[in-house]
Amino acid sequence: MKIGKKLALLMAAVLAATTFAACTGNATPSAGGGAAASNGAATPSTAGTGNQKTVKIGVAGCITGANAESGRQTVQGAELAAKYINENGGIKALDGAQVELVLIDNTSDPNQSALALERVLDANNDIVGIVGNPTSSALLPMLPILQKYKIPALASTAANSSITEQGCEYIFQPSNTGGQQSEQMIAFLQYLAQKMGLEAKDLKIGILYENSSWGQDVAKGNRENCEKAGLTVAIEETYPSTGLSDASPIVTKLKNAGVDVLLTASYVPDTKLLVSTMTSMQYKPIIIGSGGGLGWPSLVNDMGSDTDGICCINAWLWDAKFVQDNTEFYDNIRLQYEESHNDEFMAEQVGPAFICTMMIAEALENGQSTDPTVVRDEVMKLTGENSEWFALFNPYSAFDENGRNVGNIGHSPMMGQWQDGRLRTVFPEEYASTNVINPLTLEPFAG
Amino acid sequence: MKKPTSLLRKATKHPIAIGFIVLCMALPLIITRGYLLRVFIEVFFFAAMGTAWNILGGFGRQTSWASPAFFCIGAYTAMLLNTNFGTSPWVSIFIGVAIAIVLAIAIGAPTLKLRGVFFSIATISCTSIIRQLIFNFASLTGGAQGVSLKMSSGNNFWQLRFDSEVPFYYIAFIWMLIIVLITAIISKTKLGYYLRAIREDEDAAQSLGVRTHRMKLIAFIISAVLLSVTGAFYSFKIGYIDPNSVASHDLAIRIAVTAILGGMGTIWGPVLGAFICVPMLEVSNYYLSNFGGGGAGFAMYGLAMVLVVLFRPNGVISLFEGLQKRFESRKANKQTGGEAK
Amino acid sequence: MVQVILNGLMIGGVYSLIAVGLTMVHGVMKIVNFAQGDFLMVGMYATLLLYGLLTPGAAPYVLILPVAVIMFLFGLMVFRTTIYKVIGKGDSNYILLTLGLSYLLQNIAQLIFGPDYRSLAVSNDLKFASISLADNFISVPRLVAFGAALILVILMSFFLNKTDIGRAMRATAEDRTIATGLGVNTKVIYILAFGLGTVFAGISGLLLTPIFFVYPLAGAPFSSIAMTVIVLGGLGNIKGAMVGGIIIGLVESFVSGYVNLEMAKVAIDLVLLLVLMFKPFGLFGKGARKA
Repeated sequence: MKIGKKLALLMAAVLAATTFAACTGNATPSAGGGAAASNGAATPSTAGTGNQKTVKIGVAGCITGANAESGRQTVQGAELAAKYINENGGIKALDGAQVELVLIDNTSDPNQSALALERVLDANNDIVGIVGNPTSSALLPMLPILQKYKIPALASTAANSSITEQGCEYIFQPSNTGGQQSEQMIAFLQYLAQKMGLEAKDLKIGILYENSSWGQDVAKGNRENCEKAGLTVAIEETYPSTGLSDASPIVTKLKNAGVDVLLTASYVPDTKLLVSTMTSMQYKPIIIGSGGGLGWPSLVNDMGSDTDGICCINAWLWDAKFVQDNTEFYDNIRLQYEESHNDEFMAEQVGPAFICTMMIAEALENGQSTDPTVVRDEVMKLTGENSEWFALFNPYSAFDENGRNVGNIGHSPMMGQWQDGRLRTVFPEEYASTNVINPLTLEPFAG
Repeated sequence: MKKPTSLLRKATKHPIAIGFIVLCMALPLIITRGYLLRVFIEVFFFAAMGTAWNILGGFGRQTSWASPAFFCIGAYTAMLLNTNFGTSPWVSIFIGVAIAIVLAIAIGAPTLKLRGVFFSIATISCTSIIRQLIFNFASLTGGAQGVSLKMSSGNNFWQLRFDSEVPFYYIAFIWMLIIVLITAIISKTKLGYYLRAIREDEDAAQSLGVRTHRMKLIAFIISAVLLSVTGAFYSFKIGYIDPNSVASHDLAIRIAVTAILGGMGTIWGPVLGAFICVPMLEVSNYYLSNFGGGGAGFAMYGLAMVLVVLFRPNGVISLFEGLQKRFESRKANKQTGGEAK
Repeated sequence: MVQVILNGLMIGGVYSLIAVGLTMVHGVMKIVNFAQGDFLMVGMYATLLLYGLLTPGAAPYVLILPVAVIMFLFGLMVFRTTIYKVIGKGDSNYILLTLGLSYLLQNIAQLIFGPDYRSLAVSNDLKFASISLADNFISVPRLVAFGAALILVILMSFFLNKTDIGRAMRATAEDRTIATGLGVNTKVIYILAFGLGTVFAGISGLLLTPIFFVYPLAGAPFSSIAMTVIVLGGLGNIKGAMVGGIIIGLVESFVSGYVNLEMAKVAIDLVLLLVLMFKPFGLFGKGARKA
């Protein structure tokens, strides 16, 4: 082997090593991609008033890339919380320390999740907790790292049931699982059928899902719950999780199978394509969807009033009764959010990210320590009874030893329906903020 | 192969190779930050895969995009056997190798009959077919859920579970060296010679009696086996695999770019390529992820590919070969006292 | 069943259009452009940008001419800076070059426009319009796409067979040396061919804007489909590309319709593999010298 080549190798190795040491070694957290939330929300007017201590909370999401909508919502929720905390005196147990958010962006590529997390944790060794990543396929690779670094993560709306089954002691799943979502979808289906004067058992059901771990989870639950309830599944259809480019084959199949009710698990672009293809084929089944795209503001931004009547389970809804009961949140914080975001309602990822950030702050207050293991233990102790924020997920909230929220069993999630450009809670009735309307005629039900 | 004394003599002719190896072996003693070591591990694994690809892709110039298929075989075999039966990955590696050989023959035998771009196009579909198979046999493979290793603590060499990054650093590095060594050996044997002939002019080679199809197939199989073993190691490092990330065309591109950027058809080229590509992606994700859609890293990959093809088809390593030639000719002139060429 | 056939035909028309551009480029300069799908994406974004100049709700088809011009200039620029240098330099060179271009285009688009899925503010009347035949529906935008594709391919066929330049192009495709000897300026021919190929991809993009979303990766699936089509039809064979496009459209539609969408992708891959194994010159091809 020749000298030239070896020289090259040596140089490259040295170059790489020094580049790394240089840029990641003494990079301050606010320089570069793993930086604090870019706008002033996280470091507000108190910056500059003497030496403020700061406490860092990581926000993990698909902030850029194909799934950026989810990331945007997550970041906005966390920013709302950080702003609220900072404007109200910071973390009092830590001498009013200000909350600073550190973004962990996996660029919507699950392959990058683990590395992005390690990169940020390496550059910021004082992160006390993480909010996110709500996308299950991005979260699963992160688990070994959370375990290794011993940093607790509250996975906002991540719904895959295996998240809390891997033996990771630092992951919390406050939201409902895909399985719980499908239970509720079927329960709602029966409720709606009864309201519409239809016999649920006569309806032909179609299950449509994107081929990802979330989609599969929901579909499996749908299938099982339909069987349990004695309902007929006429057809089950999947499409690549890289997205739907042409919905006509699917719609054709659904139409041919005579599907009356479509249970879906898709993201926004796929949903839009589906609905517009169905409209152009003059096919209008009842659509009951599971989170993802069907309930997000970008759907109504694009489809306007065509969204009305569509029903969608959301991991969290902004106007559920028990959320309204928290007047500080509903009448104050929520309105602040809507004002600064063009009147957009708090979508499925915004609220949970807000809540999880508040829960970490609460754990900091309770534990009076920035040691992440203490934070983790304190989060474990939170319940819907002792934490007004955790109660915003569900009044019965409580974590089991694996980090799953057992309060959701039988009480969650909520079914929303698009009415007048907003997603409103319509089921279960104990949480509903308004009555469900007939999805086909858009008329309210009599009585 | 070669007698030990002649190997030793050969070794002393390459002080810089030795220097590089020693430096890398000693690095974990100097650098303790887990993240940096993690990046080096990534570099070594991609160097390994790039070098494996290079055997057929560089020496033979047959651009294959089927690498992820073999990577998957190794990864899934190791993960599934371990999560279902507790089998040690060191054992699963051999099972993976066996399957990889079968698959390589199944894919390679028909497709390597095709020339140039046809072969390339044919291999693109292989990755998506494998991904589809993984989805379809979900009860076996976990489908879109992927396969996860349960959390564990403590060090267990037999199960490849460690607390710190260091053991995997050495495993990755030594594995990479093994592949480089295999490549070096191939390069000096008849196989390497025939591959180069095929690269230059396949028709001429054939007319001279070289069994081109057979040679290409052997190279393909070797490449597949090496990729499969790398897949097994790598999957245990990450602890979680799913079809959308490991059976993806993106991975095929990353592997190929590593080899191309560094220098196709050279022995150390892909290693150099990995040292450039992996940090490049990391740095761009670190600094540029706030910039637009976060695609900066892959944009640079694309740009790198274009620039290399246009200006340095022999890869970055050829820059240094140019230097080396001038160095050698000056040395020669000094010795002979003659004029510069 | 009729609906499935109709779906397949409509999308098949568009596949044909992209494939014709691709096959023509190969015919003339023996290069398979792995970035053809991304040229389609560029066409989509060009349409998106120009659409802002129209009154909202208008049909984007009026933009065909301006988009064609933009795409031709774009193709020219790409050709002169990159493609030109790898003609005749071996397969792996252009494969890697065009793949790199593909990645580059996708990510530059993402950097400039962001990853969001956009659509034209086409009026819903157009977007959702459909013609019904008994129980079946043909979506109007798809029908227009199909029709336009058909017309353009016929025009191209006419151009190649009945005009001098067209004949010169075919001559260059057959044998560059002799063509040069006969006084054909091959450099101009190359530019023309590549430009036209790019224009076709761009127009396909425009035709698809009322149907699909505009986003950086929008072109990626079309790249691989187009390659399958040209292999099926025979590299360099325009008619083959036309027919091949329809065939692939039908295959996709049938498999999606009777199995599912994921298998449709696999089915197309399998078709490709089978053709490569047994009929590498394609159904109609006779020209590919190496396969």
